[in-house]
Amino acid sequence: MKKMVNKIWACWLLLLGFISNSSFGQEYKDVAWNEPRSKDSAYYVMREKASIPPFGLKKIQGLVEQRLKSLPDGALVDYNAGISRVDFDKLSFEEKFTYTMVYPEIYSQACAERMFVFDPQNKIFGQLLFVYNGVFWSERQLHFMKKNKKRIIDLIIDQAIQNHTLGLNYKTALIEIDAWESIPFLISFYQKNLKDKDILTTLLQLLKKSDLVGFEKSKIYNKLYGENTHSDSWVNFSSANEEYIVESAQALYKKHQNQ
Amino acid sequence: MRQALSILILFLLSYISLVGQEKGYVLIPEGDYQLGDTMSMDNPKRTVHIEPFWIAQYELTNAEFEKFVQATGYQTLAERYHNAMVFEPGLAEFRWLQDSTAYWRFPNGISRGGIVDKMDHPVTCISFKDILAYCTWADCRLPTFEEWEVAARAGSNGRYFEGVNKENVGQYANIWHSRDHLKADYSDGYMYTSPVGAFKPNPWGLYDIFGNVFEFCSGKLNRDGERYVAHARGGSWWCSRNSCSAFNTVYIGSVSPNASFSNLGFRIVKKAFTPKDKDF
Repeated sequence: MKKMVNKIWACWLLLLGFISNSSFGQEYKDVAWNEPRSKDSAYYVMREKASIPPFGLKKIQGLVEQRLKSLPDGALVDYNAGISRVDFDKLSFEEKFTYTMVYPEIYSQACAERMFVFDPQNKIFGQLLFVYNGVFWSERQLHFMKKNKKRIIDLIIDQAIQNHTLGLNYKTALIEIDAWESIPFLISFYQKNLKDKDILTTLLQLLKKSDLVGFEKSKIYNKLYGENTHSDSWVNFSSANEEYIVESAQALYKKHQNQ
Repeated sequence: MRQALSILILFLLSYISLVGQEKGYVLIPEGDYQLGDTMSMDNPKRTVHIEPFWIAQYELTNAEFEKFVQATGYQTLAERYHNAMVFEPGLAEFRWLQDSTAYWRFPNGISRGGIVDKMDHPVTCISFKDILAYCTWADCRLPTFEEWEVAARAGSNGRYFEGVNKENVGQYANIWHSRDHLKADYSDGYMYTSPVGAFKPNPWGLYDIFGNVFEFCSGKLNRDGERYVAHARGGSWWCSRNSCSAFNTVYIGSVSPNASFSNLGFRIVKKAFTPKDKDF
């Protein structure tokens, strides 16, 4: 019986995926748009904004400063190899969380092209923006988040509710740790923060990580992650697209719960 | 009379073809150039005036960097701090590995091979600060954002120089052709770097302007704020159509000035344009 219900769900989502995309866009074709409008720039500022956890922030800033001063080469002012293992282990769970969210430990390349897309408020992007400019979480930091997945999710939810915002680093962390458990929260938080379409992107990324039947065959998947897509691909926002993403995410959550 | 005229014309044509190309450099003429793109957050559309300058036809090679190391005993940041970032197939998009064994002689770590038979490839796994040290020694400099873009566009006003688009860029650039980076891509003959000049040049005779290695430039972006950030352009062997498509004239990449990656290199500019440059 359960299998039957799952099949009906999958068929329904597949159907929704095919019918819900009447308003796809094409990248870089809004040629009439000469200058980014201030509301578009403001939306990008919002997309890029990171959250800063409050737990032991000053203590962590002190440890990082101490670490930088101890480096043999004064020229390496931004060398971000991280605090020592001893110092890291001494931190409380919450302080480790703050440290991870504020001080990514390894270098990265900010490789995605930063192109304005016209009217980004009304688009759903396939990818979040790069979370940090030139740095990213080290294996140690990723391991810490994955090992403490449930507590990390709880902290992020708690902080987001308190501050009424879900920063880019929190969204990225949820994707990194494959936080399907956060789906009900993400949906309800999105419904109270409809302006933040990157929450839908976070749901899409969790779906992409999953093996939910039908998602890879949907038009929305093809437009965001298919053959001719790139890191800036998007679809126009529409109720149908929104509904498809939310219902697919709910189906993914139910599937995990059943397992 | 006709024969003398032919010889004169031949002589003039030979002279014209020499002007602007000397010892591996191309002269970029003074002028007002249109740069940027209306949609770019980092590189808005604008017109800039550029003084003439000489830019290298090729990216700087391992052989050239070796001369600097042999002459000075210089140790790169990757050698001193063992903090280089390397690539191997199988990584998720935009992910790199830290490899303590990697430096310019082993740009992807010792286990992935060295450069002994790749001395004509661009030098990589060097940081922006290492490049500044090289430039001091070699009495040259990096191109500015604007200079690089003018040279790259070669008279075009678009994202690519004339004749190139996102589909055929592989004829001109060593890039990544696969959908993702989970498996090695040798479809153009090279997974990592290629020898400099292995692909078609741009109309002004510059090779590997797109792909092969990101080329560090001097300049600052508004979003850098007070931070010291290094910037590189043109995309690299890692870049694919489905990831960043950075192999164009608009994109400006950002990276820590201390970071060493196996897809970051450089192309030099003669330090100053002087009348001596014309005396050849």
